Amino acid sequence: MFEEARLLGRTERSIALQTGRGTDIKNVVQPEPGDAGRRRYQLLLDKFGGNWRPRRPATGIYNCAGHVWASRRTAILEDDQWALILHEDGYRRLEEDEEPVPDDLVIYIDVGPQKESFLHVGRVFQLRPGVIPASRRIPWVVSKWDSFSGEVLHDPHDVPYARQGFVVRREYWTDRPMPARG
Amino acid sequence: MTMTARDLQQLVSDDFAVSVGFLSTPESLRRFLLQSKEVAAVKEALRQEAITESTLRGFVSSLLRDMRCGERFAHQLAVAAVAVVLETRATDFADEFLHDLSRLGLAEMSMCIRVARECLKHRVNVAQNKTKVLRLPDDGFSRAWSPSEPQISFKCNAGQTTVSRVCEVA
Repeated sequence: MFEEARLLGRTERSIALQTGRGTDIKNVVQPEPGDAGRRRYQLLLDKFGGNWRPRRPATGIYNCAGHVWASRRTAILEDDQWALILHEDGYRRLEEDEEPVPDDLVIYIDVGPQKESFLHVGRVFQLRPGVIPASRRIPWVVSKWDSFSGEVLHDPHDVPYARQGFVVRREYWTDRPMPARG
Repeated sequence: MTMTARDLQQLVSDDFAVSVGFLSTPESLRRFLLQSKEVAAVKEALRQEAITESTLRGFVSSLLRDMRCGERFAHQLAVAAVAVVLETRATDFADEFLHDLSRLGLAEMSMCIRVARECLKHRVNVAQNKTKVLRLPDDGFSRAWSPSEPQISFKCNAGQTTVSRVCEVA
C-alpha cells in the first residue's frame, strides 16, 4: 500500500525546537492548505465562526501549539509534546479565583469517556470589561485552529468542540509565578 | 450509486469535513473518527461484506492520485478515517495499511500518518487485552484466556493440568 506516496521520499521537515530545559520537541512544518484546504476552512468559518474576528487567512506551517510555543514556525502535533512543554517550561494552571492576563494560555481538553487529551491551545490577548463593573473581566483569545486554518480572535466560550460532541474542560495556564497569598 | 460506494464517498464529502471541524492533534482526530457515523457505516459495510478490503485499497489508491507536492493532501480525513476503520480489524490488509501509512514521512499527509500511528498503539492494546474462550476437546472444559498468559492451568477431575497447546478457540 502507498507505493506511489513512498516514491516521493521524505518531505517532512522540522526545525530545532526545545523546551526551556533543553529537551527536543517533535514538530513538523506544515505545507500550504491549497485550494481544497482554503475551501474547507471557509466552510468551517461559515459553520462555526459567526462571531469570530479573522486575524489571518488560512495558512500552513503551524498549528495552535506551534502558534503559542514555536512563534508560528512549525506545528507541534502530538499530545505528549504539549504536556512536555507545559511541564518543562514551568507553566502552571491558574486557580479558580485567578484572572488570566494577556499572554496566558487557554487550553481545551477532551474529557470524554476515554483518557483525557488536548484539543486546542490559544493565547489570551486582551481582557474586556465584564457585564457589570464588579464582575470579572472577559478574556479574548487568538487561535489558530489547526495546521491549515487561519487565525481568529474569539470569546473563549465560542469554540466548535461542544457542537462536535466533545465534552470539554477549559483551563487557563500561565508561566507567571504563583501570586503571594495574604 | 450502491450503498457501498456511498459509504466510502461520504468520507470525502464536505459534510464529513465540516463535521470533523478543527482538530489539532492526531489523537483527538482519531477519537472523533471512532465516534463518527461515517466510520461506523464503513466498519459495518466491511463486517457485512458489502465492501471488501480490496474496495478499500482501490478507494485509497484513487484518493492518492490527488496528492500534490508541497500542498496539504485534500483527502487526509478520508485516509485517517480508513485507518480508524481498520484499527480493530485483525487482517493482513489492516496490518499492511496501518504500518505502511505510519512509516511515511510526508508533510502533505502528516495528520493521517500520525492517526495511523495512534491506531497502531491502540491496536496493540486491543490485542493485549483480548480475552478468548478456549475449549479443550478432550474434556469439554472451557475458560477465558488472555494472550498475555504464557500457559493455562485447568483444574479438572484429574487434578491440576497445565496446557501450553491451544486446542480450539471459540
